[in-house]
Amino acid sequence: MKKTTNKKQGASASAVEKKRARWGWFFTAPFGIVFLIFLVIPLAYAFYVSLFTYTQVRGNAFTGLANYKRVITDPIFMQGMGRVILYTIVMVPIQLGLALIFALLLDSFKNKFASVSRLVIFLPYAIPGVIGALMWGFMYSKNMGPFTTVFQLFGLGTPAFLTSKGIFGALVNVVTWQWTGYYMVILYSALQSISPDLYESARLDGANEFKIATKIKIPMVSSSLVMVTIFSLIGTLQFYTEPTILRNQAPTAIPIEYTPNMYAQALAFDYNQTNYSATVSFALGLVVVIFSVIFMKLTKKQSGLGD
Amino acid sequence: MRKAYKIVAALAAGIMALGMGACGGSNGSSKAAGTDKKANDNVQCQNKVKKTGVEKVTVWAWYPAIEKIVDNFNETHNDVQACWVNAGQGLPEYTKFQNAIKAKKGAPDIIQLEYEAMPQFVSGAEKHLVDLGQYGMNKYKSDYTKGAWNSVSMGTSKSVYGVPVDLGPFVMFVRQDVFDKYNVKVPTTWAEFAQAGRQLKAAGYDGYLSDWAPNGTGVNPALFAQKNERIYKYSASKPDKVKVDLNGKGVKEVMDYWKGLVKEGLVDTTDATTTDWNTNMMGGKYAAYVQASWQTGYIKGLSKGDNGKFRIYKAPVWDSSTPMVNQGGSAWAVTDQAKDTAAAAKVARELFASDAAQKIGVTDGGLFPSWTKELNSDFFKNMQEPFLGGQKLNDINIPTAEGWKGYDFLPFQTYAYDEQIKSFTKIVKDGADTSSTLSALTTKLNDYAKQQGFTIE
Repeated sequence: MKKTTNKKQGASASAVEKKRARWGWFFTAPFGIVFLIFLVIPLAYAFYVSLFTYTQVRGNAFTGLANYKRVITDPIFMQGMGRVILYTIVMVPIQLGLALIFALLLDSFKNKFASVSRLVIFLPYAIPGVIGALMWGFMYSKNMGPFTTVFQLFGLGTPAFLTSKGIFGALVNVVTWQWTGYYMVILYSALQSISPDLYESARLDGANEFKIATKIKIPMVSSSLVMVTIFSLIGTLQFYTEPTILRNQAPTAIPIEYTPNMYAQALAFDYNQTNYSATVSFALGLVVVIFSVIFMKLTKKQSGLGD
Repeated sequence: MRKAYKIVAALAAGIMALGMGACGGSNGSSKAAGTDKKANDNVQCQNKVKKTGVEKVTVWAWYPAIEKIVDNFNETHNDVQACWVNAGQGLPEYTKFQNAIKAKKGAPDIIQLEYEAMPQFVSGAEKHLVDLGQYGMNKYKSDYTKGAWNSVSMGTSKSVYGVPVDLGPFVMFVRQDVFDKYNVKVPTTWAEFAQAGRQLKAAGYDGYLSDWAPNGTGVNPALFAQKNERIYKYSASKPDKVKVDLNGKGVKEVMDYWKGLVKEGLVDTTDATTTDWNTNMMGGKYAAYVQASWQTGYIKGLSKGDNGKFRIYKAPVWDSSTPMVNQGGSAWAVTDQAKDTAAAAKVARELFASDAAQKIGVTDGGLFPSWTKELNSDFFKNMQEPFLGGQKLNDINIPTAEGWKGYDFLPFQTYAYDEQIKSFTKIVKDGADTSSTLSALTTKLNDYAKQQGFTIE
C-alpha cells in the first residue's frame, strides 16, 4: 500500500467502518444482553457448579472433573441417552417424512380442501405440549379411552399403551401428532417460494407430477429440510415434556429418570444433587452439540451453508 | 473479532468470580437461635392476620383446613400471629425448603414435614431443624402417641425435631356391597384375605380382590413392619450412620405373598391415584384395599356425594402377634432460619394444641390426630362418617394409632422410594426372583448411602 494518497481515504473509510460497527453493536445489543444474561452466564455458572460435589454428610467440596467421570460411567444416564437416541432414530424420520408428504400434497392441490387440511394438520402444534400430553394420557387410558371402544368393535383387546411395552409407541405417536404440522408448514412455505416456471419447463420436458416432486421440489427445499431435521434432532434429544406429563398416568412404565433431561431434574429437585445435575445437563448439551455438528457436516451440500 | 473474544473472556472470568461468592454450599453448622421479633413485620401471608402490630411467625403448610387452624390460633393469641403460606404439598415444598437452605434465606420459621422427610434435614452436614428439646418440648411427651413421638425424636433420648400433628393408621377399606352380594366373609388375616379373593372370583365377581400399586411408596414399609421388619435404620443421635436391609425373611414373605396373588389373577397392578385406578376404586373393581386411614378423604373426594359403599376394617394380620402399623403423618418443624426461634417453637407447639383446633383438623381437614387428648375424647370416638355409611370409623382407627411404636426413615427417602418402586415392581408384577432382587436393591441403597458420605452400621 502506498503511503501518500491513500492515507486519507483509508482513514475516512475506517471511520465509516467504525461508525457502522458501532451501529451494528447498537442494534444487536438487545439480543446480546438477553443472550448473555439468560444463556451464557447460566451456562458458565452451571459448568462452575458441576466442578463441585455435594454430599449429605460432608457438604460441598471441589472435585474438578470427577462428576464428568461419573457421568460417562453412569448406567442411568447412559440408558436414558440410549433411549433418546432410539427415539431420534424412530421419530425424526417419521415426523419429517410425513411433514414432507403433506407439504407436497398441499402444494399440488391448491384448493379449498387443501387449505382446510393445512389448518387441521397444523392445529396440534397450536395446542400447548402439556395440554396435548394430558389429553393423550386420558385417551390412552384403559377404562376411559376411546380406543377400548374402537378395538372392541373389531373384537380385539385394548392395546396396552401405558405399559413398559407400549409406552414407546405411545410417546412416538404423541410427539408426531404434535410436531408434524409445524414442520409441514415450514416445508410448505419453502415450496411456495419456488418459481412455477421451473415446473412449466419440466412439464414441457415430459416430467410427470411425481418426477417434479422428487427431482425439483425436494432438492429445492433441501435447506429447509435440513433446518427442520436439526430442530427435530435437538428437540428429541432433549425429550422431556411428554414423558413427564404421561408419567402421572403411567408412573411405572416411565421411571423418573426416563430421559437425561428428566434425570437431571430428578437429581436437582428430588435428590438434592444440584452439582451432579448440572453435570448431567452439561453432558447432555455436549451430546446434542456433537450430533448437530455431525449432521451439519453430513448435509453441508444440501443446507446451502457450505458454499 | 479479536476484541469480541477478549470481551467474552473477561465476562467469563467475571462470572467465575461471581460464582465463587455465590456457591458456598451448605455446611449446615447449626446457627445460633434467632431473636429478631421485627424481621417478619412486612411479610406477605395467605391468611388475613387478625391482630396488627404484633410479632409474626411464618408457616409453610398444606394441611386441609389449615387456614381455619391459623385463624383460630390468631384469634386466641394476642402476643404473636401466625402468617401462613402454602408452598406445595410434600416433595415440591421440600424442594423449596432445600433451595432456601442453599440460598441461606427464604425458609419459613415453621414448616410442615412428613415424618419420612424429617431425617433428610437432620443428617450429616444437614442440620436445619431446631431441637425443640431446648424449648421445653419434652414436657409434652405424654400428649402424643408413642409412634408420633418416636417419629419426631428420631432415636434420640432428649432431642425433639418436630411437634407431631397427624398419623395414618393402617387399615383396610372394604366394599361392603361386594362382600355382601357374593356372600363372602370380610378377611381378618392375610391367609383369609387370599381365600376371600378366590371365593369372590369363584362366585363370579368380575373385579379384583385388591390392587398392589407399583408406584406405592410408604405402603410397602408398613406391610413389612407387620412382619417386624425394619428395613431402614437411622437415628438423629448418629446423623452420619445409616443402614438399609431388605434381606429379611419377612420382607421376602410379604413380596412373595403379593407376587402370588398377582400371578393368580386375584390382584391388579394398576398404579395408585391414576385415572384408571380411581375409576376401578369407585367402580367397585377392588373389593378391598389396605391403606392408611387418610385414604377416606381421597376416595370421598372422588365420589359424587356419599356413596356409602365403603367400610373400614382392621388391616389383615399374619397372626395374633402382628404389630399395629402406620403409614404417613406429619409434624411442625422449626427451621434454623427462624427469625425468632423461641416464638416459632411456641407457635409450632400451640397451633393444634387446643380442643377447638383439633376439632377443625378432624372435621374440616379429615386429619387423624396424634394428640392423645383428642383420641380419648368422646367426640372423636363417636364420630360417624356418612361416606362410610355412617360407620364409627375411629373404633378401628384409634387402637391402630395407639398401638404403633414408630419407625425410622432414611435421610434420602425420596431416592430410596424411587429405587424400591422399580425393584418391587420387578418382583410383584414381572415375577422376578425375590431374593436376588431384594439383595441387589439393598446393595444399591447402601452404596448410595456410602456415596453420600454415610457409614453403614
